[in-house]
Parts: sequence; structure tokens; C-alpha cells
Amino acid sequence: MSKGIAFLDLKNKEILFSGNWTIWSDIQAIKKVSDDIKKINLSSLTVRLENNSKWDSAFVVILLDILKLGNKYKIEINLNSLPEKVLKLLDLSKEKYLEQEQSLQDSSKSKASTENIDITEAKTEETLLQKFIKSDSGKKLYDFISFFGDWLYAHLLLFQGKVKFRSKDYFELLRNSSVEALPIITLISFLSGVVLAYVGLVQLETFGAEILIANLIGFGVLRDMGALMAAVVMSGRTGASYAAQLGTMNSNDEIDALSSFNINPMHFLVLPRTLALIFMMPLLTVYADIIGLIAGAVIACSTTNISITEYYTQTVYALGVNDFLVGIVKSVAFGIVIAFFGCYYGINSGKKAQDVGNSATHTVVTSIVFIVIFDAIFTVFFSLVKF
Amino acid sequence: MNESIIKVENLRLQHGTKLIQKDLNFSINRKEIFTIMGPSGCGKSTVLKALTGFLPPTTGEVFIENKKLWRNGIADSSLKNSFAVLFQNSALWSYMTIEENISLPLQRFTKLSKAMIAKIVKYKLSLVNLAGYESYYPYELSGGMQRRAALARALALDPEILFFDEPHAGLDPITIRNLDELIVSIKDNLGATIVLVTHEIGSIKRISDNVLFLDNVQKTLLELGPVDVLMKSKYNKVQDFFNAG
Repeated sequence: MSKGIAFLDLKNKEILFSGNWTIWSDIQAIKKVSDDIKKINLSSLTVRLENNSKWDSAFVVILLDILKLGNKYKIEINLNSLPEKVLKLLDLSKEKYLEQEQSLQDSSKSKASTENIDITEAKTEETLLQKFIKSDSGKKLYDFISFFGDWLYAHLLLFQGKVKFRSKDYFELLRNSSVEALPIITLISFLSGVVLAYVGLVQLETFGAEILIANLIGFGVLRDMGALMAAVVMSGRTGASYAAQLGTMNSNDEIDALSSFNINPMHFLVLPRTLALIFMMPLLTVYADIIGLIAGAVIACSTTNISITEYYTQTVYALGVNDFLVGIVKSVAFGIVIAFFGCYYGINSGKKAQDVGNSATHTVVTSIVFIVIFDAIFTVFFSLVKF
Repeated sequence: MNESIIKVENLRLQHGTKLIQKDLNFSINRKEIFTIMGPSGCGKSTVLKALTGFLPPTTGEVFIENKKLWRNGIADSSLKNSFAVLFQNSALWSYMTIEENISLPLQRFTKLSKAMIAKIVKYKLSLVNLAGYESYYPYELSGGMQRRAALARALALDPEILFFDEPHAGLDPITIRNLDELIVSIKDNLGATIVLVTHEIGSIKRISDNVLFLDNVQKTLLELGPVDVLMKSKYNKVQDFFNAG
């Protein structure tokens, strides 16, 4: 790296710059010169640049700093011997740069004298809770609680018939979270059934109890896997899409525009999305159950001696309506979780370019975590009540 | 004597501990075009947010039609239908057609028939020279057309007050002039009060009745009055703004 050399000549009262003074050079030398200027007692200084020296805006910035030092320590800085182009560049920015420095100093002084009064007053009055609410995590918690409260209240108003949203939007949301989701749900549910069948058969064959594969797949799919797989797919698909839609609307001020017309975004945007998933998740779960059971049957009948009639009879014998209902109850809860987090992260997404992407990511991660948590809670609960 | 429709008393706005503006006291008269101007970053849009119910004041009061806008940090929703906001980026609801954008407030807050709403939408669109664009989606329109469509939406409920946040930003000179003519026509013919946040000096000179100049250093109101008074302001900063335009 080429170097810039700066020399403070006390005898001739001048600073001599030589070498390269560009943003690509090593220009550390100025630090020593600046420190020396602060220590000595001079009334004037001339700045000179050697003829063959290279320079760019980095040199102009250094000159501005020297002028600032000159102002501060009452040293008259003479720049007349510098190249004309340097002086022109300096003139363009000198006034504004020094003015900005001055106003920064003034504002920090006035902050100390006036604003600090407010802050100190605030500090003495603020409780620990208020301080927490003002912090980033406090604000997030506050936003979450406030969203949750509004969300619950909106549902209460819905039951009282006081909420209006466009039926067109609702049906579009239903379509989006049903027919369009079927191909991916078919694939995932079928493969889950296949995996469950193979894993089960490996163990059951060792006891000669292959026929019980119908019980295993039936229980596994109906009580858990059907709803769980549908929920995981929908959180990645629909939950993320809700977050992205609402996040984009937020960054385009479209949500503010709704509020400006006194239209509550919670009623107009969040409620239809929640209702769409509450309605569609059980239907998708029934579909996922059927596909999962078929996949299990296909694998069991094609890899063992069990006939399709035996498999069907065993399945009907082993399963009850309660097994089916457990999956349905879970699916409603999963639908609520997905819609809630999709809308929460979407509406509270920031205005920056990456915020929409982040809100979609947070939705998927948080939804899946809560889906698994709720799944565990429901499984334990239904097991305890022997349902 | 002019009757004020908006009154601001001792308004102080902060983002956290960062002061945006302080000690703001001013009134906006009914049926006037009132402009809020000042250097970039002085907090013009933040002041507008406090006037439109989006940002609660740290201290101070905003009165609209002699009623307090803010109560315990929450904007009085009953006042919201008396004004409309035209956002800087139009903020048209992107998944709706232009007709749906304009008809939504009418469907929500009036008992008009569908046929009547459709007629009103056509009328509002013709007011902003966008007749025939009912079935278009916002992304199918140019920036200037989107701005006009957003204006038609803002006019949907015939608000008493119209707030414009940087309506001229990114528009060409002819579109700016057309928009100015439209704003004056709305004031004259619909009797609306217009509050503008803008940097467009030509427009300010052409259409503003009163101008509020906010300072970014003192963080308060520097000048308030008609354009010709501000052009002779004792503050160089204010004069420089007008001379630059």
C-alpha cells in the first residue's frame, strides 16, 4: 500500500504533504501531525502539497479536519499554495462541513443543557416497568400482547355480528388455502404414510404381527400425522404468504390507509385470514388423513401378505370416531396458530426491504414451534382423559 | 374572521428520547391550503402523523373541529371520517381494482346502494381525470395516475380536511401543475381544507394560503404566515428556500 507522508515543519510554520493521499493509501501519518498541532503554540500554518503527490477526496477531508483544528486552536490556516482543484473541491464542502461540525457540537451542548433536563426528569419519574416497555424487547412484548388482545376482542365482536369484511376477500383466502394447497399436501401426506408404514413393518414383522400395521398407521395418521403434516405445509405456504402480503401492505402504507378511513385492519385483514384457516385446516386434515391411510395401505399390502380387505377390516376395527376427532381438534388449533403468527408478523413487519422476508421466516419458524408444542399438549391431554 | 378547523397547542413530538419538534402552536383555517415545509429531516411528516392520528404527541394537544384528537395516546376514531390522508406513495390497496379502492370507504360508512356507489366512484374518478380506469389495478397505472387515484379515494367520503404527504414527490412539472390545479379546485369547489407537506416551492407559491416553516436545528416553528410574508422572512434559511425554488 502506498503511503502518504506528512511533516510538520515548525521552523517554516508549514505542513508538508508528500506521497499518496488517497482513500487507497496508508494515510495514518496525519494523526501524528494533528496531535502535534494541538500541542504547539502557533498563530499560523501553511499547508503545502508536493507536486508529484497523488490526492483525492481523502486529502480534502484531511484538510477540512486541519481547518477545524485551526478554528479550535485559533491558528490561521493558509491553503493558498495548494493546487487549484483541491481548493475548488474544498470550497464546495468547507462551509457545510464546518457548519455541520459546529451544529453537532451545539446540539450536543444544548442536549446536555436542555434535553438532559427532560431525560433526567424522565429518569426520575420512570418506573422499571416503563423503562422495560420502552426497550426493544419491551416494545415487542407490548406489541404482541396488544395484538393478541385486539385479536381476541375482534373475535368477540365477530360473534356479536359487529365485524365486517369483504366476502370476496374471504372466498379468495379460502380458495388460496384449499385447492391450491392440495398438491403439496397430497405429496407430503402420502410420503408420511409410506415412511410410517415402512418403519412400522420393520418392527412388527419381527413379532409376526404385520396385520397390526393397520392399527399403527390408522392411529398415527388420524390422531397426529395428518393434522401435523398439513399444518407444517400450511405454515410454510399460507402462513408465510400471510406475513408477506401484510408485510408488503405495511411497507406500502396500505395498512395505514385503512386506518385513515377508520377501517380496523384487525377486522378487515386479520379476521378473514384466521377464519379461512380455521375453516380449511380440518378439511385439509381429513384429506391428508385419507391420503396417509391410502399410502399406508399401499405399502402394507404390496410388501406383506395382507390383503386389502384384511387391511380395511383391521383399520375399521381398530379406529374409532374419537381418533378422527382428535386430529380435527388439533387441526383447528394449528390453523389458529398459523393465521395468528402470519398476521402478527405481517402487520408488525417494519418498512425496510428485508423486513418482509424476515416476517415470513419468523412466521414459519414460530408457527412450527407452536404447532409442535400444541401437538404435544393435546397428545398428553387426550391420553390423560383417555379420549 | 377566519374560523380555524385544526388547532395545535404546545405540541412536542419525540421518537423515543430523540426530539423531533417542540413548542408547536398554530391553527389551520377552514377552506384554506396550508403548507408545512422545512429542510429534509425537520419532522414535517412526523407532524402530519400527529395531525392525522398515526403518532401520539409526547405532550400538547391537537384539536380538530374543536375536539381533542388524542386521548391517552389513542386517536379519537369518530374524528377520522372528517379527514382523509393522501400518502406519499399513494398507498392504494394493491389487491383491489381502482373502483374497489374508492368504493370500500363508501360501502363501509354509507348506506348507499351499489348502483349509487358505482356512480360516485365514476364521478370521483372523473374529478381526477381518471374516468374509465375503474377496472385497473394500481400497478397498471403510472405514478402520477396512482397519485390521482389515491386522491379520488381520499375524496370518497367528501372529507372536511385533506392531508397530503409530499404529493409532488417524483412527478414531472406538468403533472405537478395539474395536481396543483386539482388541489385548488378541490378547495374551491368541494370546500375542503387542504394540509400539504411538500418541498415543491413552485407549488407552495402557486397554491398555499398559509405556510408553516419548521426548523431542523431549533426543532420548532420558525415562520408562519402567507407566502409573501415568508419570502421576506428575517431568517435567511426561509428566504433561501423560496429563492432556491
